[in-house]
Amino acid sequence: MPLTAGGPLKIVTSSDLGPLGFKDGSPVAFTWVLPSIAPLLLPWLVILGLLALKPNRRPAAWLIWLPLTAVMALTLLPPIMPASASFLLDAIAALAFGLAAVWLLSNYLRRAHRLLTFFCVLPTLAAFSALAFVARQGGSWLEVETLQIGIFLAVGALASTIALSLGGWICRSRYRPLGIYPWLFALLAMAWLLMSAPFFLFAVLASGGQIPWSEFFTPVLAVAAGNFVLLFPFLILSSSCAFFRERLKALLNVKLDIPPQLPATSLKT
Amino acid sequence: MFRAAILTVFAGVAMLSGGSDFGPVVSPTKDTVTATLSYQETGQSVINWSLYVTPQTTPFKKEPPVSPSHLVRGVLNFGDGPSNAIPFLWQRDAGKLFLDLNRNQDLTDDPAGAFSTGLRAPLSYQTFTNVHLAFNTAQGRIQVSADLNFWDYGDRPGGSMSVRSYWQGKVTLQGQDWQVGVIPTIGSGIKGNKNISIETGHLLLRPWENREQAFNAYGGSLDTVPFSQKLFFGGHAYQLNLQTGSADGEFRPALDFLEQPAALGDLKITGKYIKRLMLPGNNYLAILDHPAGTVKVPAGNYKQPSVLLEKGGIEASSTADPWQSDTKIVVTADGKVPAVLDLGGPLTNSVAVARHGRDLRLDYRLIGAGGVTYQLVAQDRSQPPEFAVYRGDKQIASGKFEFG
Repeated sequence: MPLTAGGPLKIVTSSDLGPLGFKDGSPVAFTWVLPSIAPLLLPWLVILGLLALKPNRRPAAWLIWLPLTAVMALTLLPPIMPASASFLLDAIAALAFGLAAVWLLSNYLRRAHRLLTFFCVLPTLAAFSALAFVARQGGSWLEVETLQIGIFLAVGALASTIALSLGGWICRSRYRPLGIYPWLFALLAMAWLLMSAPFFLFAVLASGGQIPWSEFFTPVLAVAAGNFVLLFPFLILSSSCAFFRERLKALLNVKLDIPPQLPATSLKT
Repeated sequence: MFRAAILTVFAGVAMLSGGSDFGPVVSPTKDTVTATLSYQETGQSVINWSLYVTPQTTPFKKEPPVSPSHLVRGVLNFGDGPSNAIPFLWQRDAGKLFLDLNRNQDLTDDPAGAFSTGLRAPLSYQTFTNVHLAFNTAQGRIQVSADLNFWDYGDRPGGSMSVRSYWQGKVTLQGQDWQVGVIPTIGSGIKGNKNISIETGHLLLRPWENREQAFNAYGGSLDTVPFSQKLFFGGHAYQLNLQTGSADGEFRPALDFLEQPAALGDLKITGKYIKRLMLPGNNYLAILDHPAGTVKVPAGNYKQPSVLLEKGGIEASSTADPWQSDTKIVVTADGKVPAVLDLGGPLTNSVAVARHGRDLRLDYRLIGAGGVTYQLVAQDRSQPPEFAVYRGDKQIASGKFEFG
């Protein structure tokens, strides 16, 4: 549970034990030191810094806050999943910052060859996501569980980058929103399935084949769907805003709408 | 302190569910009482075992007419060799199971080996009830009544067996009637425990008046304990010997109770409401019913107790590992200072609190004396434990714990 009030706390649990004991337990004392707000602000400040870059000095660039705040609001809604799975929200929030950074930096990340673009986008997305994730974790980012979430985040970054790269390739270097969206979803599902398969096969071997396939496909496809939902606000922004449409095209490595630079000799005066 | 045994044993008879109070009386020998145990079936599972399935594509020597679609063919492995393996056909779309009970690779000559789910069962998971199996062991031919659960989710078929049979009888020791019984281990052959045996199984031991109550070996009730040849219960130490011989090769068990002289020491139990306490020791497995204050147990070292608390019909059992593995209680017979066992009720709702990043993690704990953790035997999952967080006197947060 997130807590916004610091200081000495008392926690009381209660459950009907009948005559075996009292319903209310003894208060358990715990001193909650309110975490510093500075690390939480860091990812937002980084995005602000990216907006100061020359290619982003346009009013339209500030629309990047829309998908970002939409995803953040989603993670702050009343819990839609059990507490044991709440770590996914941390990963989603971190990946959203990573995507926002990649969208703002896409002019720098695009390369002539699609593979080179992939190798520029992947570390950028992973680095900015990791920065946001570490900042969100406070001082506990070396805990084993947190490291596991970090691995989950890394896989998410890889799956997103693969989907963007292959999506542009499948669309034959042309930007077609209605075509690219379903393809991105399918590619995300494929990427997650392929990356999860070795872990599942290992578990199957270790258990002597006692794990049903449904325990593999159902959660993996659910995670892939969640990844697409995370990507979707950025895609909507790119469809509705010419500035970010060019950024998405850069990430997809498809043709830009910028008029071709004609040779000076062909100009007639 | 030793006392002579005054024992009367009523041999078990083939009792229907609920049992009978009457049966042939076995005349006790001078020191040994022998209780003949009879086969008993119940309506509830007493223990569960995994089924290790070896699938195969090659047809058996003779098979009933089955559709090749949705067919699982294979062998159920039992024991440490192929002699107890049972070939089977599982026709999933028809909800039928064919077992080669006589193990001759002919699945058409086993009239008692054909089963049907009787319901419109899903293709991936089906249960076949009232299956009677027999296994050849060094102790005789053991029969088992069970429900077999099969599943196949597309990779490798698997299954489990809910056993609904055991052997039981009545014994009167020191003027108290007990229901005693044995539940064999049925190993799955290839993985894990490979045995089919009584000595590695469970011993049923509870007051005779409780004989009609359902029990199982995994619910924390402690009606059953690991089978032990050195047993201390009812304030007396016994050597248990399992007789299994019979002229016709069938498993016809009997339990010999030979009272043993044992040096006893004092054990002071600090907690309350203990219905049954099981103390595995290096000399005896001690079972104490309703112990309170200072009790006598055989001298020795004891580790890893299991305890069942009860008051007003509410029961709570200790969790699997209540102590650190290296903790032990040493009971001596020198009559000086009693060993102290910090165990029992009353219970207290508590919580383990830990910081996790920006979150506060709360883990519910039900704690008794000595910090031992418990769980209610009949926990109402619709009413999970709740918590409230206070700063000063002001409540700033509250919620319910989630199971899992």
